[in-house]
Amino acid sequence: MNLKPGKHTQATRQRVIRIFLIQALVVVVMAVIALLLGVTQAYSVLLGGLLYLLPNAYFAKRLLFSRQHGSANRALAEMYIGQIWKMAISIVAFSAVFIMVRPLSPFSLFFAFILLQVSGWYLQMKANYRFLKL
Amino acid sequence: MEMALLYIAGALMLGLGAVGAAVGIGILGGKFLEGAARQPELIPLLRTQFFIVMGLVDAVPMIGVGLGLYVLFAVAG
Repeated sequence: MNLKPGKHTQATRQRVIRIFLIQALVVVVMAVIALLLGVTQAYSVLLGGLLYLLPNAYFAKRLLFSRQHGSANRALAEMYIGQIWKMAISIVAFSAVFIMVRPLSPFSLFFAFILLQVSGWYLQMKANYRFLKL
Repeated sequence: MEMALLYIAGALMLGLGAVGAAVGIGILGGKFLEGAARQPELIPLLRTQFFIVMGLVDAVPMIGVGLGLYVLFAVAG
């Protein structure tokens, strides 16, 4: 198998950045639509998008943009540490939003959050043509 | 009594979500190491696949964490 790790990593980075940009665009469009229902719904949608994008962007940066290309153990440790930080950022961000932001529309927030999760699955699988062939 | 039930509901959402994520990510890490041990030259590719499947595995637990924290801080608090 003629695999070039550098090129593969570069292509993956570009794909991941493109997916995040599409998701950010989806959030903005949803927020504009939610503005028709009210300002609270609009900023709740934006917060839901931010709660998804912030931890995931950190995880992607840690995993894919790291310059360390060591052993399998080192790669796995990086992944687990990145995942732990992603969860910590998510928990802190969710808690901060629920404590500090009043009034809040939970349906708009969770709708945006869940929609981004589902769109993430779809876009990753659609963008990564090798995913189902391994 | 109602407050106690809300706290139990939030704790169950967080706890069961954590159990699901732990099992999924544990299996995923084990399989990654197996694959990397068999073909070390495929580590960059496996890392990409790990990133994608990690997104699939921890999506539902993250939604559970969000709902659990909403119950704990916004509904009960």
